[in-house]
Formats: sequence, C-alpha cells, structure tokens
Amino acid sequence: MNLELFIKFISVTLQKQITYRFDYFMGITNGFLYVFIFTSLWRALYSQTQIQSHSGFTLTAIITYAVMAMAVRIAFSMDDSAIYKRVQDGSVSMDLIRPVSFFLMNLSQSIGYSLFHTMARTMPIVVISVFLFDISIPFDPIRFIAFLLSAVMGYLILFMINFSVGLLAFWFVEIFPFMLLKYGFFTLFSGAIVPIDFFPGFLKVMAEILPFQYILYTPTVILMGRADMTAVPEMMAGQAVWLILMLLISRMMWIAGRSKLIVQGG
Amino acid sequence: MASSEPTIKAENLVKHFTVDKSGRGFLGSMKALFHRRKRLVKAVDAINFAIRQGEFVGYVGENGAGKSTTIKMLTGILVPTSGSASVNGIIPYENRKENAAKIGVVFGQRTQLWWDLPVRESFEMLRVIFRVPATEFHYSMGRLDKALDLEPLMEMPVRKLSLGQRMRCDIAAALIHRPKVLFLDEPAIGLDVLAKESIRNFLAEINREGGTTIILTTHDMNDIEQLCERLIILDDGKIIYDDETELLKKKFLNEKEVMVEFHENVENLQSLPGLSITREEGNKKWLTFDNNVSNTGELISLMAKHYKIKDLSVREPSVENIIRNIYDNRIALPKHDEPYGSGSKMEEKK
Amino acid sequence: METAKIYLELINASIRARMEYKTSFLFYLVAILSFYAGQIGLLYIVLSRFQSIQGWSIGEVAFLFGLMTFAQGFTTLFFSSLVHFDQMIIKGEFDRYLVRPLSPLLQIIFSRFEASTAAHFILGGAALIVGSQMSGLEWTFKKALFLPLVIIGGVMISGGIRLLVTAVAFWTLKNESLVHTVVFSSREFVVYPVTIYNTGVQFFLTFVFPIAFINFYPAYYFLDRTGDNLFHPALQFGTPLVGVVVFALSLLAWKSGVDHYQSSGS
Repeated sequence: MNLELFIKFISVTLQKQITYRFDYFMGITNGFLYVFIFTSLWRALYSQTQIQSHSGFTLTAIITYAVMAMAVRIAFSMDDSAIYKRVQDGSVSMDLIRPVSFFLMNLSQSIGYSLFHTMARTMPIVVISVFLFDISIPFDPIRFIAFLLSAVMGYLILFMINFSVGLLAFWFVEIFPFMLLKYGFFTLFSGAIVPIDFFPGFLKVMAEILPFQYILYTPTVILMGRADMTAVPEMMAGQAVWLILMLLISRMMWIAGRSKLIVQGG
Repeated sequence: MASSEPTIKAENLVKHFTVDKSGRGFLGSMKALFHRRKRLVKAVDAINFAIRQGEFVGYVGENGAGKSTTIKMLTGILVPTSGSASVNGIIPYENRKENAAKIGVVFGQRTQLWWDLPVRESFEMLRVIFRVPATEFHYSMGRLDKALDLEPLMEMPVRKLSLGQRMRCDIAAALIHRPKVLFLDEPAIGLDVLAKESIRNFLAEINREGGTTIILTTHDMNDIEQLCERLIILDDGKIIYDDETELLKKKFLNEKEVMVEFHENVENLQSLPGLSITREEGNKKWLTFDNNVSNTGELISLMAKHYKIKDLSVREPSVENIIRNIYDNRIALPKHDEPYGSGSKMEEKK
Repeated sequence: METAKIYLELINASIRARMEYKTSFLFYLVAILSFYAGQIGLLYIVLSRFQSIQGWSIGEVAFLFGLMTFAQGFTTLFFSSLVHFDQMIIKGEFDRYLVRPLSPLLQIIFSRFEASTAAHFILGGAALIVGSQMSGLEWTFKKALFLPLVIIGGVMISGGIRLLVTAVAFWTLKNESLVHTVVFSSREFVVYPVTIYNTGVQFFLTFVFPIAFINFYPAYYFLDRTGDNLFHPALQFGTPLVGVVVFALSLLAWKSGVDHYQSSGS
C-alpha cells in the first residue's frame, strides 16, 4: 500500500467525521465532562486528609495526570466496531479483492479518526483545562519526543487490540461481549482514571502483566515528568515487546479468519 | 355515488425540503462545522391526480423526481408542505394509524420483516399488528404461498434470504391484512429471474380480481409495460405525463437507438426516413429512428453498404431516456393547462 | 386490551429474536459484570487508599452504586433499543414503523428485549445489600415502601433522559456522541456523592439534569445522613415526582420530533 493511498484514507475518514457538527461539539463536552468529574474527585479526596502526597502524587500532579491521561485517551479514540461491522455484513470480502492490505487500510482509517479527535477534541480540552486547573508539565524537548514515540507505540498497541477483538467476528455472531470485556480491562488497567501507582498489591501485579498500562499510563507519566528519564528506555522496551506480540497475534488472527472466510464463505 | 369518489387523491400536493449545502474538501467541511448554507428543494411541486379503485398505476421519474416523497405522503410518513391528499377517504398524515391499517407498503430498499426471526414468525407478528382474524389469515397465507412459493422460505431467518426471496416475502407481508391499496416503492421484482413472472402475475391478479388499487414506482420498464394500464411521469416534482401506458408506448417504445462506430469520420450520413442523429463523439454516432417507419435491418444494411463499420449496438429506450426525451424536446405532449388523463378531471371539478 | 395483546406479542418476538443468538446470553452477563468490575475496581482502589469520599464511607458509596445500577437494569430493559435510533433515522428504517397501525415509540421499545440486563439486577441488588450492611442502614417500614418508588422514579428519570436525547436525532440525524455523553458518560457523575462538585454543578445535577435524584438524594434519606449541604431537605423525597416530570417532558419532545420528521423528511 503506497503512502498516497494511506493518506487518502486518512483524509476521507477525517472529512467523514466533520460532517456531523452537532456530534462534534457533543464530543468535546463529553471529554471535558470526564476531566471535570475526575478533577473534582481528586480535589475532594486530597482535601480530606493532611497528607500532601499520595503514592508520590501531589494534588497538582494527580490533576495533571487526570487531564493528560484523558487527553491522550480521547486522542486515541477509535471506531472499535468498524472491523466487526465489515466482517459481519460481509463487506470484508470486498476488502479481500482490493489490492491493499486489510490491516493497513484499517490502520489508516483509524489514524484519520484519531487525528480528527486529536485536533478537534484533545486540543480544546487541553487548552480549557490549562486555564481551569492547576496543571504542571515540564518543558523538556527530549521528554516530549520520548512522549510522542511512546504515544505512537501505545496507539498501535491499542489499535491492534481493537483489530484482534474485531476479527473475532469471524468466529462469533456477536462480539459485543468481548468489547465490553476489553473495555472493562482497559478502564481499570490502562491507568486512564487512577494511575497504576495507587493500585494495591495484586491489582498492581495484574496491571504490570497486562498490555493496557502501555497504552495510556506510560506515555502520560513520560509527558508529565513523573517518570524519570533514566527509566524511560525500560518503559519503552516494555511497549516494544507488547507491540511485537500484538503484531503477531493480530497477524495470526487475520490469516486464520481469512482462510475461514475463503473455505466456508463467511 | 360512492364509486365515483377516487381511492387516492392528490390536490395541489406540495412538499419542500431544506437541505444543507456542504462545502467541498477538507477546508470546506471545516467551515461547515460552524456555518451551513441551506437550499430549498421542491421535491413535489403542486401535483394533482385521482386514482380510482382497481387501477394499477405506474409512477415513474428519475431519481429525485419526487416519487418516493409522494409515496411517503400517501402512506402518512410525511406531512405535505401544502395541498392535500387522501387515501380511501382518509387523510394519511392526519390519521396515520387508521390509514396504515388499510394500506400495504413495500419498500424495495428495506424490509419490514424481523431480521432475526424466521419468515413465518414475521408473518405471525404482522397478523397480530394488523389484527387479522385467524381464519382470514390462513386463507390469505394459503393464497400468498401458492402465488409466491413461500413455503420453502418459511423457516429461514430473514437475514439469510436472498434479495429476490426477501422481495417475495415482503410483498406477501404487505398483503396479509388484504389492504385496499398497495404501494410498491421500487420493488426489485426483476431481480429474481425465476420468480418475476409469477410475482407479476400475482400482482395483476390481486389487482384484477381483488380490486386492489396498486401504485408502483420503478425503473423497470418491463414491469410498467406488463402491469400498469396508467402511467404518471414525474420530473422535477411536476407531473409531465398522466395517461394510458399504451399511448406512451406507441409514441416512444417504438423508437430505437443505434450506436454506430465508423472507421473514419463520416459526415453527411446517408439517411433513412424517420432517422435522426442524437449524439456524436469522435467516430461514434448515436442514431434514433422510428421502428414503424424504418427497421433495424434496413439501417444496418444501409450503413454496411456505404461505410466501414467498426462496432454497432442497438438499444431499446429506457424509461430514463423516454422521460429525458419528453422533457428535453417536449415531444408532442399536451401542455400543462390542457386536460389530459384522469388526473386533470379533478381540476375541472374545482 | 387488544392493543396490550399486540405489544405482548411484540415482546415475545423480540425475545425469540434474541434467542437466535442463544450462545451469547451467559457470556453477555459475564461481560457486563466484568465491565462494571472495572468501575468497582477503581472505586475500591480509591476507597482503600482514602477510606471515604467527601464523608461517604465505602458502604454508603456501595449503596449509591446499588441504587444507580438497579434503576439502570430497568432502563436497559425498556430503553436499550433507543441507543442506535439515529441509525434508524439515517437509514430510513423509521419509515416502516410509521406504516403500521401502532405507536412507533412502543414498537421500537418492544422491538428489543435485553435479557442480559439481569447483570444490572444482580450487581445492583448485591451492592444494595452489601452497602446497607456495611453502612449499618436501618430499614423501616417507611423506607421499604419508599424504595420501589425511588427505583421507578429513577427509571423514569434515566429512561426519560434517554428518550429526550433520542428525539434529538430527528433534528440532528447523527447523535451518537450526544447519546454517549448524556446517557452513558453522565452516569459517571453520580457514581460519587454529588457533594464533591462545586455548587453550580450540584445545582445542574439537581434542577437542570436531575440525575442526582436517581441515587444521591434518596440515598441521603435511606442512610439517615446529615451534615451534607443539600439545597433543601425535601429533595430527599423528590425522586418520584421528578421522574414523572422528566418522563412527561421527554414524551413531549419525542412527539414533536416525530412531527418534525414528518414535515421535513430525512
């Protein structure tokens, strides 16, 4: 698949998103609503004790975390039922006869979707939050580059998880339960709401075994300066391992699903 | 006299829509986020017609001509902007439910069956919804099964049916409550090569024997030719033809179009009586002629005698083409203020 | 009577349609439970670290969660078919409800029967029992009588809100984000006692978008709490009345949505 086509797919998806403006403004509201709820929660929690810092997070740090994790999460918005729909209504067989990679085609569409959310939703939410809340992000170009790299890896891991769950549609009539399951795990173990540092014993162990922390928690703590620069390479190595693992899993599932489609006709 | 009252009536029926003009490209659509320009579309523009009980009417026009909008107003889905309509003496958009109980509707694009249920259960559901007594239901189902060969499909879930099979079931579904009026909005009858004859026969039969009034919108000229004794043609929201189908056929269906591609550019083409050139493009020429005056054989032998021909094809005119011809040339159609067909009789009454 | 029979038949059909996918029912149940397990996990982490949220103990927060989830159970049971209503409008499927001699709203409501909502009853019931045990709630005859009224009122509030945002699709066509924000995300507001928010937001959740009546105000009564700053003590008993008002308003909105649809097409 050439770059031009890849970019074309991205831009088409972007434009599709913009068509519905009401939906767009609602999307910003939705993101901001979460930011507001969680900052309120943390303020209330921190105000009820004398202790200034919990698990190494001061109030400013935890609010920065809440805003940034949400910002990254919104930037990572994906239409996670896109693949499922194509498999279920049979249009996946149309994709098979196209001379482009199914994986890359979906990835480019997903990037288009996410770029829209980054520009149109993440940006406004970050700007509003900077004015409304006490947020502190260190100015450090190297750190920022590390964050971008880590965010790209996190994005790809999430995309491949969604891709693989979507492909389950080759074997199951309904995959909504799988998506709920994935969502439940993601909410808790990605650190989207509460940073992994707060987790008690066994939950922390689970968070470290699962890939979800590498999607949101890792890039966020790199960005906000929570992670020591010396620890960053190790964190990114963890991301790389999961990246390769997910690449293998999604590749294998695609091959298995495709041959099922060819042999049994869907 | 009750019988003289038309079953379906439209008087100065108008439907306007406002639609958004969307910008082009990325910047255009970005702008559209904040500002939209509106445009008024006159989907149905003051139409009049009266259809009597037992008529089988073809309602045709190009895409966007206003066919579906009319059907939607007659079935109570849409409320007209102005003017009025009535079906079985009921104003559909005011008494939607009452009207719905007496009509049957088939939308070719969408099914009204339950996607996940076997066909039999969908019929069973519709029986309950339309309050059809059990004995009457069994009688109807027997007839429908015989005509449309439903039995083999009965236990299949609707999502597993082919489009043609689904069409048969949808037509049956619309008739379970034996409606007095049947609306067929772009039913894909011709799709099912094996079943299309029996579907057509069945529709003709319920129209003829049951006295069911049927309105059919379609692009399929064969359906119109075989079924509809009356034809209403819409263009840009206006009725441009409302008369017997036979008349239109006499006028236009005998016209044939031939595309000839010559080896070299030909000027001053040898002519036959009734022949005219409608389009030219490079060495290709599109010729139309009246089949009653000349015939295809004559034309081909004339061409072959005088010129070197590379390619040649003959085409029957489609509805689209006929409509375009009527509209572009306004060939021999009575003007709007002249009475034609039964549609204008209503105007006289006023 | 005849009409009631028709609707019973519709319910019956939707159950049978659901049975077509019989393998997934139990799985659904598990998936929904695990979806909530994520949320409960987060509450558990926060509460085990901070002991209470704005003076509400773990048992009291569990009771809040129980009231919300139990009402959620009925709301899902009756209104889940509305979630994708915008697609019905976009694809023109709404027309077929209009060519039948029945109310389109009731046809849609009864077109889907979500048995897996049993998960909400299991979870909500468990949270109510555990919550009232842990918080030492004293059940009286009056309280036992008031509980069903609160649940019904809560269902009318959340169901009414669903109907209200669903009706918006008649004007905006696509309203996925609105549904998502108002129906699902906003629920997050009342997972915590609303006193963690500033007065403006509390006012909003009480008088404008009254979801605080689903659990916060009635819980205040059931738990015999004192000391929180309510706008007025009578609000503790407001749920049934607010439910009726919200539901009546939403029916009006739906009605005018259908009128708009019939005059503008789609």
